[in-house]
Amino acid sequence: MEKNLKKLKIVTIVIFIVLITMIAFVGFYVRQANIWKNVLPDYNFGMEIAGLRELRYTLDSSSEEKEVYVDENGNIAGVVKNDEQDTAISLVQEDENTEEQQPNTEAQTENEISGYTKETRTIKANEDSALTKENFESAKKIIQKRLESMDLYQYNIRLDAITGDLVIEIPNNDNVETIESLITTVGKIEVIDEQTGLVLMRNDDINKASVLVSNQSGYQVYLQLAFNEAGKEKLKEISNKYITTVNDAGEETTEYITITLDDQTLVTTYFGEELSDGIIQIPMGEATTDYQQYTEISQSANQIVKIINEEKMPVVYQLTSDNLIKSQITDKIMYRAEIIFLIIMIVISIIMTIKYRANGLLGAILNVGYIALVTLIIRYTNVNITLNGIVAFCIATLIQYIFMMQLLYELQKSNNAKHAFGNAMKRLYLSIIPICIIAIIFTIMSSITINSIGMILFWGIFIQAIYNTIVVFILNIFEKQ
Amino acid sequence: MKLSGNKKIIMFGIILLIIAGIVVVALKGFNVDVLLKQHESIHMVIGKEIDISNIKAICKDVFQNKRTVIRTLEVFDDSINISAISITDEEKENLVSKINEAYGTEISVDSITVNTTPNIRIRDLIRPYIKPIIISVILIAVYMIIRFRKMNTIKLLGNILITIIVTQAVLASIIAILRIPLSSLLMNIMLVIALIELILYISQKEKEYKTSTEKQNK
Repeated sequence: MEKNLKKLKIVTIVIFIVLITMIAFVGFYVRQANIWKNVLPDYNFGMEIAGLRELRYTLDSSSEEKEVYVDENGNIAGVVKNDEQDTAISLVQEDENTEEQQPNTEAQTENEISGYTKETRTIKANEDSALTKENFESAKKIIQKRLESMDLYQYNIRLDAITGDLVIEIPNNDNVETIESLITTVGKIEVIDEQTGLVLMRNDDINKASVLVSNQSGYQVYLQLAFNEAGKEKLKEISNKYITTVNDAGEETTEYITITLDDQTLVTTYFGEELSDGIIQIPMGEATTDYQQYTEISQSANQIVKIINEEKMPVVYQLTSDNLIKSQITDKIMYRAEIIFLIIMIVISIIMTIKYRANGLLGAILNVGYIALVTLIIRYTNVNITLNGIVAFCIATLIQYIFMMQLLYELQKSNNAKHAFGNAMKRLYLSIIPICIIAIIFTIMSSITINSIGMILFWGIFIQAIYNTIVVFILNIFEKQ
Repeated sequence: MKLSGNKKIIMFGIILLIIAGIVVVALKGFNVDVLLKQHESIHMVIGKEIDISNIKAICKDVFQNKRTVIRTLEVFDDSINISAISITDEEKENLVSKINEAYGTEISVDSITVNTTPNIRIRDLIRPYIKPIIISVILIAVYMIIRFRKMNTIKLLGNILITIIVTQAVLASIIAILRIPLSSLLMNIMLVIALIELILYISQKEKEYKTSTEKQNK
């Protein structure tokens, strides 16, 4: 009776393993709209295997002649607004009488330029003095921080320290366009007098940027700028100056400020009250009830916040090319590697069967089941598979094979299968504790190369323990020898 | 510590190998993989499905002994990226003419530009490993001190440290002398070897520990 039950258990387990192996290596197909579709999630390969996007950047060499304000130290304090320049304003608070909302450019220019001289200068995107090795290195570090702030931990930054050219290699995903702009964005934020073009506040005045969301009438995303002590004072002064005033004749005059990021207008507005707390909130887009639109605005605002909170790029880059380069590890190479792996497995299985007969064959089948389970878990846990991760997978498989050999050896020595299992587990785990430590530490690291090793080792060891305990210890399927 | 004849010879060989490795590294450095070094590359749109082995043969003919890396570009597999340490004008012309001949295309030499790709710094490759390895080494050392507290733990840790350092130095010397291209994968394989060494050492100490505990109990 007991023997029959054991046979039944073995047959059930073998069927289960065959099924799992078929699912893991062939797939699980479901008919969807008359098409058979594999419902298993795809493997998430790292860029060394799946290919990469190669973004090439050169230093922006553009220049433009502009009339600028120059302070007493010779520093540029803003670009003079000329009459032809478009002074159209996107108002935060729309008024019925839009004509009266236009900035009084002529009158303001007279008042605002005191203390500054006007000069025509050639404004270069990258001043010659900025083209130093230190600045290139600093730009590289800032890019690293920006990429990592987007949770992108798999990248290569290649810097030519002489020319300043950059080649950035990233995985090919939906974020490529965002990343492209992340590198070309300098992060220069300015509060400008809309009437004159004089810069009132810069990055140096900002303490911290953050994103706020109000849900009063739809979701409205705000970019909140908190200024430092010097900035607070300036903001207080500005908030008392850039307001709507009514003269004796009852005519309204409004003075505006414009907040820009890399010379792109974020908002043009005026103040209704004095801001003494040093905080300003800039509405980002319109209030919306559409979740997707809200998410896009929120992501964009969060990206701006990260850029402002980091250092400003010391040099300006422009994208020159963007190519998707496939891996040198082609399908053919992968296929060959799989065949080699399979041959090694078959050879070990034959050795196990010859040496330990029925138990050896059973052990070999269990090993196949283990590999199938690990590959399924790797798919479902969305682990990034890098080349180093594949090495980790080989280590995990090796651990299972060592365990099985040890178990079969113990089964030969002991009459009690459970005792043999205990001994084999004890010996194995006392020896592989360093691997367990490495698996846990590497798993919590953000670098994809490191994380891939950690995650695959972690799942490999975890499944090894659970799988063998259930199949070998609880179901007790091995024959006493 | 007295060493037997064979061990002396092995030790002498190891020292010689490490010295030779140091000399090679000092004179020529490691042979870093083409894609990690500063290299030049060519993008070519062929417009037809590419047979990589055919392109490899053409590259071997054009670049002779220079190591090249051939990768397909974009999604349709009809463009290629060929990277080599340097690409001369003559090599470029030769390559374009051979590809035109093989694929019946009319790619002009002038339309192909040679791009220079800066190197990846080895320290950038190593940087992500430093923190997790330091934490892991500390935790493993703590484990070993606790586990083998009845043994001479200082000697134990010293022994394993020396063994791993010597093995890694020997491996690095072999890599340098044989001019094996240094890549991220190779560095990881070295890490795995160090790990296997550690496990074998712990496994051996477990046996010794078990025997000594049994003796003490008797």
